[in-house]
Amino acid sequence: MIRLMKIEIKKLSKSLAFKIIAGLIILTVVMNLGIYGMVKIIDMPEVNAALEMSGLTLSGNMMFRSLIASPSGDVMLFSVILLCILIGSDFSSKTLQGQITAGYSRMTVAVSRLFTGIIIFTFFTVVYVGANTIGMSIIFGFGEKFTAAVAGDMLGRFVLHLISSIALISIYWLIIMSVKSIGASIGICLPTLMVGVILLQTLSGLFKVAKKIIDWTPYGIASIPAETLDASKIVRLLVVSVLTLVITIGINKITFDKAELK
Amino acid sequence: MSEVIFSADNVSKVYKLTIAVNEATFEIEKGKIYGFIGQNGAGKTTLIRMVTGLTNPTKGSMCLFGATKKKDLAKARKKIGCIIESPSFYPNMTAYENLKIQQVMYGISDDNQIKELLETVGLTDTGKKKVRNFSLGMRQRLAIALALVNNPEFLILDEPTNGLDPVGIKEVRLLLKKVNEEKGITILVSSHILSEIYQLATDYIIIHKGSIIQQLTHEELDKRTHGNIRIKVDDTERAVALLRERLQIENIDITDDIIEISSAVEVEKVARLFMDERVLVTGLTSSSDDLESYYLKLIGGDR
Repeated sequence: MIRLMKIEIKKLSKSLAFKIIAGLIILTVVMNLGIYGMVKIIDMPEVNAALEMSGLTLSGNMMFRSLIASPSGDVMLFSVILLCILIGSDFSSKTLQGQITAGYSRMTVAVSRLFTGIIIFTFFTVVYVGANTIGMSIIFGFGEKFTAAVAGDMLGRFVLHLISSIALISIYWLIIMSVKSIGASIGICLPTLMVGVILLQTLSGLFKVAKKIIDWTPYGIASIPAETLDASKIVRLLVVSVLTLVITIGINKITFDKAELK
Repeated sequence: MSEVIFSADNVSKVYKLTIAVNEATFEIEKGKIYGFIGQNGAGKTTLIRMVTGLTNPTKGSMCLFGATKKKDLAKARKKIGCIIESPSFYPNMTAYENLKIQQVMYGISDDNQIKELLETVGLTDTGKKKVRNFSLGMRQRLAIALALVNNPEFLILDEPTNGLDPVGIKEVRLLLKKVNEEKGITILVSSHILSEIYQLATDYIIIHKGSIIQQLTHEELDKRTHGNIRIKVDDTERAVALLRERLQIENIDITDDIIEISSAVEVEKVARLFMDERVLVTGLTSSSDDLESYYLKLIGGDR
């Protein structure tokens, strides 16, 4: 597994798609901060009124909370697209098949791709959330006194955000490993990511039963890191994440073991 | 008897409505070069994919380097090098980087090996050129180098000369002979170019409509086909004398100054003898066509 991970990291460092998407993420951060910078510099009564109505105060902390609360944010979107490209091209260039013929078990080969997804997401999240939070803190201030306790709380929430996101990534990894092509996997993953989340949020708002069910899905736990934390929420997040991982890896074991690899 | 490194026992692969491989039983002995012959869709690639773990047999069993269980078979595959249909590369990397990654996969770290392999396959001067910009021949040669990274004991090549020009085809043949002779690597190679297979293989496995219909040695093939070599030279009398004295060939016919040898003699030996003795060869046809006609007769000429 370690050897395959080394290959994955080498592959990432050489991947044009990775470089382009990393560039897009940086561009998104710049645009984001640019817009907020303009809000501060230029007097925009409509924006100020909207902020006042929602009770939001622009700050680094506010930005941090909002970025770790969404299951379908920019980072997840970019990470899933990149994962579709990387795994899909592994199938089409037969490098994945090459690892199986080299004696690696199908499970090891598949799970190494899940780890790639986790590495990509973690890297992009650190850059995106970190740069946005720091940038907003520079423009508007952090929003409260930055102490060691606050830093610890942020770190904890960030880790929870990563754990809940890993569960989501494993779902997209399962889809990509099943469809085995770049186009088809992007075609399935993106609508799921964009429309699916809105659909689940709508259902959750309309029906209490739906909300109770969705709360126990990876989509339902995504907002927990930004909420007021208590033990039950943390346990729910950990249980759902671990269960999702076990289920997706289990399904992949069954389907990928039997798959005909062209 | 030589050591058997692979055996298939009644291996079948059935897709929904098609039997791709039907109860295939055969053995691969160490150190030999097997020509795997069959039409398109005969089941060659499916069988190779089962050996390499890309697809699972519907029934039957396989034994690779003594391993029969699924987990053990996967471990045993570390001793295999293979090219199946189109080779696998990282197209946005150079030949060197691809070989480096292949080394990482096998836990090897040896820059000299990479240099040697690039030299062996004639890709030393590719420098920073990305594999996506390689010609088909260069890709095929790189694929062979990749298949040799783990110093395999068993090399499986599915159509390694696909898309190569005659020079490239000859280069691949010589390369395979070289690794077989120098490193004792067992080779299973499939190709549609029967004349090439004839010049390379020591044994043949013939598959037709999913069934192995024959496994025979090169000598057996020559006996069955009465393998013949037709040679035209500038000095027929001297050439015949040389063939009799040096290669102990007795069955020699001469028709219109064309020497016909009806025995299992390697074309290369004859050519080398004439070259060393400065006999000018003006024409030479080997019995490679006979493998083709033998094969066609065997399958009943049907397609």
